[in-house]
Amino acid sequence: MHILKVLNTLIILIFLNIPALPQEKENTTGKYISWTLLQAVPSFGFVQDANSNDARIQLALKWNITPVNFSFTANKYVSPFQFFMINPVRRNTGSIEIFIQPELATASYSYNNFNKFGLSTGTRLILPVSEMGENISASIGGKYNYRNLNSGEKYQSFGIEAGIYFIAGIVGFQAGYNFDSRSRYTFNFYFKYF
Amino acid sequence: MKKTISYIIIIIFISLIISGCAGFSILTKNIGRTISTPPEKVKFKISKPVKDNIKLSALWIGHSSVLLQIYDKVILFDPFFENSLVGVFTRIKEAGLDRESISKLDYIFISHSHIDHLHFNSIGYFESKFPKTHLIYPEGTEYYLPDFDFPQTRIKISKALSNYFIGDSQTIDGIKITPVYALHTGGRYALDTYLWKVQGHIGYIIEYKEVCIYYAGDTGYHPEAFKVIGKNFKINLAFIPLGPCRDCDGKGFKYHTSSIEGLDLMKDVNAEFMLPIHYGAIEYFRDANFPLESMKTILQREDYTGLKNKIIILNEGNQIVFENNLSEYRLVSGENQ
Repeated sequence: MHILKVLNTLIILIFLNIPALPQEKENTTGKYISWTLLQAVPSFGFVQDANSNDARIQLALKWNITPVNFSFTANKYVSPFQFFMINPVRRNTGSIEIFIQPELATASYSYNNFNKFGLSTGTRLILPVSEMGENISASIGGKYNYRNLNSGEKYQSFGIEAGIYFIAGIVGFQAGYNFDSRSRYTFNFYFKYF
Repeated sequence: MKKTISYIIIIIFISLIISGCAGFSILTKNIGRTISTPPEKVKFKISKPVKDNIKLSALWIGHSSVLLQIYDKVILFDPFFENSLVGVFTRIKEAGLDRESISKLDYIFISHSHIDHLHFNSIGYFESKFPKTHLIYPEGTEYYLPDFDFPQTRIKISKALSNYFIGDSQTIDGIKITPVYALHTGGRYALDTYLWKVQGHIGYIIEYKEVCIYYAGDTGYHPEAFKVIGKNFKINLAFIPLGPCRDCDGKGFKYHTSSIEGLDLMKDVNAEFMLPIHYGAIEYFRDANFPLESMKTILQREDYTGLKNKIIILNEGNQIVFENNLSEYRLVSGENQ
């Protein structure tokens, strides 16, 4: 009986002329895989490596993670809150977000004794500058930097940052000022897709 | 480590150029144009596009932007008045209408959320000028739409995108709106469009009094869908996209019609008059006017000659006006207005 049911179903499926759906479905798997891969693309930049006598510039890679973004201009049909996957429209037309920025220096620090890996976290206000933020948007923010010293001590400092973004906020530049003489200035290119 | 990273960046950059990555090539070409070449000026623009005592008029602003008037109702489709898109795609030719000259506006229709169809500043300009204008867009577009103050209507798309090809109608302030099939995607920033395949696109049938208009939005060709639309509506005027296409005489493009597919689509919907749009402003694979030139060549072929008298080719800023009946129109331009 069971085999007959299966055969019946197969015959119906094969011979019933069901036209193919004329529209493709949303590719959710592709969406999350490609988004995750794109988040892994680092934004490269420069950080200062200094002590009381010497200073140099160090190349570093940064990743941009946004756990929460609150948009001031979200359409009435959608939530103003977004988590991790941030729609550029809602970000650049005016929003505030919490960010986490892991950082990896490409070589050992020579003067300030920092470990190669660091982490900054803070809050950033994004405002539209041109074409409701889609051409140009800008940000200001404050952050807290966590560093391990090579000696094993933990080290923390405050900093402020400003950024300017282009092409729907997907690319841009960020400059930072840390209240810490050992790594006072930072500058990095910015890349984030959603 | 520094060297390795530099090499990786250089290799990726060169690979993209050599492999002829279409998106990369279109982007770099347009960034170059943005830096070096401003849009060509439209010398004469119509100063009074909204007319008194007419049945129907249509003014092609450029690309997919159309100012439509049916009796007393004034409608904008996919408005795009600015000179650039996201700061890197600069128009070949500026918009054929100054938005300041629009004296009345009842509806703004958005077909989908791609940057060349949903332009924030072009919509935002009208927010304070005409706060009662209805903003109408397909479901899914809201994710890419800032919170404009207009009254807004989301159009349900699932039925129109299924094998019915025609969605449920609704009447808004006197005009009947029916969503119809379009083979396209929503999204806005390349990957969400072509890989994630975010939904949120539609074509529109607009009916008011005895006039029936079809605005196809952005669409590829489907062998059944447009025949169904043509059979179910007696369309007076249709706006059909051409391209972008690399081989405009070829078939089988996924999300856009080539020139020959655009003509097939026109055959299927069989409107009384049809206006090709979606060319001339942005350079994609080839010259921005290439889809139109290809269409003109294909129209010489025997199997397409029947369409010749139905197709109206406008320059940016030109308008057709139907005053007394829907089978005769006069052409209005900035020079002879």
